[in-house]
Amino acid sequence: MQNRENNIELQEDKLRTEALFNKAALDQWDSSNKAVPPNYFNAFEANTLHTIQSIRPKAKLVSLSTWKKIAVAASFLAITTSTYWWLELNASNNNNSTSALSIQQIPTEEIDAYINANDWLADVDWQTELSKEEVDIPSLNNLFKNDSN
Amino acid sequence: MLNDQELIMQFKQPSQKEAAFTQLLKRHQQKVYYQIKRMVTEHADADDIAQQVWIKVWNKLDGFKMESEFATWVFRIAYNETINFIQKSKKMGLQHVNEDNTHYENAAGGLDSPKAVQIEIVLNEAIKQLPEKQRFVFMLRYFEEMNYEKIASITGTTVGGAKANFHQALKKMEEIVKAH
Repeated sequence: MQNRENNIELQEDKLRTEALFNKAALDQWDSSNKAVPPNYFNAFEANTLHTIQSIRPKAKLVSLSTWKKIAVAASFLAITTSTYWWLELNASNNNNSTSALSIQQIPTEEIDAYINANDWLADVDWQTELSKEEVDIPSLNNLFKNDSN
Repeated sequence: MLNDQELIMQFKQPSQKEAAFTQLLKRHQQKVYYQIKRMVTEHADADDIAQQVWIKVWNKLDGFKMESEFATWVFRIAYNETINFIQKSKKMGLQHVNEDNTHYENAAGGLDSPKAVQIEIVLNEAIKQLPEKQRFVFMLRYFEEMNYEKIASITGTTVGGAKANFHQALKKMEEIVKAH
């Protein structure tokens, strides 16, 4: 019964359309839209399957229970905190070792290389200056001033 | 020969996935393509959209709950993809969507009298001027002979809404015919 009513309604709609544009024109319009290159649908099938195979499968979303979420968050927090703590500890160790370094601990080759790179220092008799028991800073300053003049 | 429902069940088994999909594609690809082509006119555009539709079918078929017919579901994907394409083309300023008269010129060659050619011109003009949704509904109703329940399901509206869309489309086309 419902189908019959639907069919009647469809025929009425079609007749209303065909009263505006004749059926031949409508059919012609549609058949021109259906024109496709030769063997198009077979090629389409092959192309689509090829495209589908080339698409990498998407990552799956894993849903977690509340306890698992808490465990993941706690692990993340523990890793972040321990990394931060370790980095801080390393940094303070480095600072201590730098402050403890004295000129006697620097290898002679390193000092020579520095002097060679800063040629104004080359004229200073460092052996004499360093062999003095207590180096007088103002006298060293005078020495540099005289040298630059 | 297996029906759509049986093929969908097969698709959900990994070993038969591709074979089942190929059968579904073979069975429905022409109708889907023709409906898209009626909307966008250009073969290359219709081809691209149709491929997107079938890729979506592949990706989403596992979750298809069979609350509607498979064909209705595929047409719904086709409707969304086509409307998105047309709207994007409009935004990008590509005006060729359904405004290319080449197909009409070819088609007119098949008609005999100048009056028939004139009707074809007016028909083409009228279809071109319909809003996308009305055009889609008109094509489904007249050319695919679908009932309003299916059309409503495809276009995401009520049966009354689908009927209103078809009658508004006819009314608008009638105005265009009178203006000529």
